[in-house]
Amino acid sequence: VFADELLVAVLVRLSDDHDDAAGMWFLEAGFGRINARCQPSFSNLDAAQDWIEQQLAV
Amino acid sequence: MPFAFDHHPATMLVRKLDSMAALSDDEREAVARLPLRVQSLDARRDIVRDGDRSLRCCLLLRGWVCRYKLISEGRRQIISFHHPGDLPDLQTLYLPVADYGLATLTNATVGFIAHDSLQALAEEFPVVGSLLWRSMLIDASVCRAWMVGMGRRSAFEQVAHLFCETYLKLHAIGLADDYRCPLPITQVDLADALGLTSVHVNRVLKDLRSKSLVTLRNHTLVFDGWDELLRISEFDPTYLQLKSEGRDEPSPSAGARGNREPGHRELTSVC
Repeated sequence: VFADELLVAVLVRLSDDHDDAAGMWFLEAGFGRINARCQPSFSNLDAAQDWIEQQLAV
Repeated sequence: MPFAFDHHPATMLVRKLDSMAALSDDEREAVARLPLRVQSLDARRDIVRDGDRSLRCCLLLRGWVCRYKLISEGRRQIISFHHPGDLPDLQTLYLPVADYGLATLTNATVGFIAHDSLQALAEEFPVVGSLLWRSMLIDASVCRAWMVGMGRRSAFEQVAHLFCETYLKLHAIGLADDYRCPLPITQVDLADALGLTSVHVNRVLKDLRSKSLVTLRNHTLVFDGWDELLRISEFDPTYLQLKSEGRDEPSPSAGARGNREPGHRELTSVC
């Protein structure tokens, strides 16, 4: 995920290995203002984008 | 030696203290006769809330409990896991206001002991008093080990270290043997204890299984490669201060002997 041409996050789609979370988008890595210690999973990319925008706006 | 008070719930505390140093018969009897108010609790229930003032300590008799801190957005850090025989809020004897929450992770039975009773016991039996003090210090040792794990170890090493610690603690009180032990908690609990996400924990568990090191099935951990696990996690059991039988001291370099099969009994001489 890029913001202003800078890499701010890497999202990974969880495989079937992850049971109930399979298919969700996991914040594999966050950079800059994206809290790397808080790695939520999102049901879809829109939700992930909203969360990343909120973090960048803080 | 057979013990005449096995029916008394405080026997779990006797077993715990006995795992640290041998008690005399009088000391065992005095601990076993501690007045307890026994209560059964469902899983995921608070026993002590952050900020509560206590006049009693909680002795865990059955099940698992944890101490934890909550921060914003529901984020939880588990600070410690506790097993039968533990007094997870023993520090309230001297620091009555809790700076953590204490909650059940599984269905549990606890016995509440009035501070006055514990203090009287410690005064009358100084050896027991020193063991209670010692257990608080060991609690701090475990916190330091967790801090090192969260600060510096990889997720894989952290999980491996916690599994070794859990096995040895449960083994010391007779609740684990033959390289198997119960782990009746969720991956989210593990993640909250290790400062990881449940996604990472899930990945590590699969990795451990694929490397034939540990399998977690039906809430039971089966150690298939104990020595390799010790080596990977650089596990040195010194911080647990388990009573030694005086022979075959555990060695963090035990991995050099290669993996033993589950069921190997050498470990029983360690704890």
